[in-house]
Amino acid sequence: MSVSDAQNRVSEKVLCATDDLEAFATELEQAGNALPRRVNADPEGVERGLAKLVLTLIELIRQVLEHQALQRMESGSLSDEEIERIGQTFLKLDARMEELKRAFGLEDEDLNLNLGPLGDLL
Amino acid sequence: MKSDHMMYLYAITDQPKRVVPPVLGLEDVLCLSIPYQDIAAVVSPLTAAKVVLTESNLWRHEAVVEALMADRTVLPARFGTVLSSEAAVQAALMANYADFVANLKRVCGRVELGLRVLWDGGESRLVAPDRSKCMGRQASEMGGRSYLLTRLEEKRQTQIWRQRAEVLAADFHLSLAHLAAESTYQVLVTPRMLLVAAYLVERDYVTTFQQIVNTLKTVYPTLDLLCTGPWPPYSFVSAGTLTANEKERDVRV
Repeated sequence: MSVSDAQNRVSEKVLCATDDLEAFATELEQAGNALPRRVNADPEGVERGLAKLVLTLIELIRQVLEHQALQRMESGSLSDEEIERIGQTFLKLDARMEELKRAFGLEDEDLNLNLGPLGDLL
Repeated sequence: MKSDHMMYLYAITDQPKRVVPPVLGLEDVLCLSIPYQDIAAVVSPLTAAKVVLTESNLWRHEAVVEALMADRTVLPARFGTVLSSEAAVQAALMANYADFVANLKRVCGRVELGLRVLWDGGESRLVAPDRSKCMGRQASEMGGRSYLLTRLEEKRQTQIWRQRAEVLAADFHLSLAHLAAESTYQVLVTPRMLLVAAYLVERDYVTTFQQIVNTLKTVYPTLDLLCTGPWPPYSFVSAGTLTANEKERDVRV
């Protein structure tokens, strides 16, 4: 079977589909982009690659701590003063993260690591 | 005499004596079979040091595997699987023989069908607090308590949204999984991609599978479905890495 034959067989491979196949292509592209999350080690991109890795780890720690804080707030184990103080801390940290992401041209979706069978880090 | 060329691996098959279909592999070279006991590796010699990931090369790989699938059981190799020589292929077959035989038995007479389901994540997602608006305000303008309450509500809404997705995806998956010997599925690979699933089904069940998908399409008219196949069982091969030569690269099938 030639390459062109194989390409022609694409339509044969579709057993059932809704009209909007473009939407699938877009989503698959997004999913594909999400998979090979590696540090870009070429000289020009290394700074951004490392920033991405470091910010991902900071974001992970931030999320874990925030999760704990929210749980404690829900369970009523924090005083009003503590809630205000912790909230301010997270608010500032979040704002700082936004600044750093902007500085390195990163989006929220960039801050993740694919852990293979374990799924995504965040 | 054994070839010293690097060998590009397409698949492991259960037919060492059957002639390989006259199909061109990468670099427009005919494929050949390297037998070992009752299995064989289908390969083609490679001169380039690296296999470039292009649409054309991917189709060439797929074309070879599909041609083989027509008259034998195959364990499709991952695209880009290259071994250093014919001897390395032999060694790999020997080292992984038990794994390959077990996998060939698992997939014998079966094909892979793929299903992807999109939902409108944007509309289906319950309205979460607009965090960007919160972030746009200065810390001094927004109290710490307000921030935490906003985050809490956002987490709750996201949790509800995810639960809805999981229930819906499970409904789809369970409607089809009973037809399959094995299946895999992932929910929300992207916010819109509700379900990505693969099913290892007997060839005879393909039509029934297709009918059920068509029924699901009617039951859920707002969702977008894409069911494809039959494919070689790419998602259901779990043979170990071919470790006959530590220098081999990317040789997992």
